[in-house]
Amino acid sequence: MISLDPRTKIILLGFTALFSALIPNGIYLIVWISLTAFLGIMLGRIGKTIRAAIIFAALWLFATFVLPMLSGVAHTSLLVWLGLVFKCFPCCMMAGIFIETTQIGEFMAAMSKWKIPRSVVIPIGIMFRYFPTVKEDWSHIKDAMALRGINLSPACFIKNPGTVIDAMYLPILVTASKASDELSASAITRGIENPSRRTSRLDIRIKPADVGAVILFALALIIGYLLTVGGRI
Amino acid sequence: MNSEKKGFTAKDLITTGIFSVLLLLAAMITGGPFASIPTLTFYFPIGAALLAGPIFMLFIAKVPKYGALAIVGVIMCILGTLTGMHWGMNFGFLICAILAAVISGIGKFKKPALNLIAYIVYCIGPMGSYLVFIFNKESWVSFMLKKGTEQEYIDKMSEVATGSTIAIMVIGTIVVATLSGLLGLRLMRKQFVKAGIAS
Repeated sequence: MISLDPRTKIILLGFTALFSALIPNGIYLIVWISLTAFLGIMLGRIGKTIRAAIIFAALWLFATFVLPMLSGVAHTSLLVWLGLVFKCFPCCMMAGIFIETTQIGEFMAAMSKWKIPRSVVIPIGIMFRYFPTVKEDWSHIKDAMALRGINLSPACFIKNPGTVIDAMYLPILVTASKASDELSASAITRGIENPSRRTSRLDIRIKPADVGAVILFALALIIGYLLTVGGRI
Repeated sequence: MNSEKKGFTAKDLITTGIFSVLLLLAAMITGGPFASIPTLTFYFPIGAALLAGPIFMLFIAKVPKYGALAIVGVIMCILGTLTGMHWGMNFGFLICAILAAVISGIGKFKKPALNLIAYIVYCIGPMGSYLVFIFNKESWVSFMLKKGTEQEYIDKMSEVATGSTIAIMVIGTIVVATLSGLLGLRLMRKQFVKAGIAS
């Protein structure tokens, strides 16, 4: 088990975005996904990382062995769809690992070391915090809608569109504005508006593990790029 | 710009964060299915415009400042870049968010008509990547897929990307954004102002 500085994780995410932009879908993708999976397991996010790796393996095997047997429209659309999935998969996997293994406090402390303006860091920190809450709220809202006999099916929508729209937007927007009031009250209490430099109890430093991870991913990126330019993959 | 940024309280920033989540999710729920199907990918901006109207309207009512939408643009741009989206989309988003802030700001963020226009402009943002495709097909293709891999994808895209597709994309987005924005204004008038959530 290791723990990485949030800054390192952002650098790794940047490498992954570069990887997606520079290197075509191919066998080298497996190398990158394995590296990402290794990183995820080392960071202690074992279950979800293994699940993502298995999903990737299944898609990859499908693309390699089943897809060539198909033909016509099914072949084209599946090929294209898989191409897009493979393009997005490394970044999504890395972003998932980043979000799940980083606490907001850590993230804010690391960003203040990079001197990123507060007006960008605070909204992003809140986004991390709020994504899971929206999911939870939404399931409650769906329950409440079911209680009133409203659902999001087209049939129900055509019957009385006004009610469905109100029942969908109002709770979500009202909870959002309530949440923003409450979160700001709690953040102001904890001194987020303090104009002086932010301090943190957490030990945010670049450690040997961070250097190692960056070097490993940078090497993988460079080798992949050279192989691509050399026409090997 | 600097003097306006100074006017940001922590509350404004937190509200911005929360509404960015909602705007992003709204775009993903209805736009996502379009984006992943190659023949429909050009209609992604239409899908993305469908749900976000009321969220946008409440957002500018709650944070009536120039920088707020610009921050949303910057955040989307950063997140898009980190998750490997096309740069046309990211910067299209940034530019359109800033334009929307300026348009809405002309009416001090209170004039419904100007807010509606601002929302339409905001919805044009994601088209950036497709506009790059039309004006410079080579660079788009080489960015999305290197060295002729999956030629079929490119063929499919070129086959779909005719003049009428683009016309449908632009007009459809404007129509859908108008409807969604009008819905947002109606909800504001009927519900949020009465409930005291927005003035």
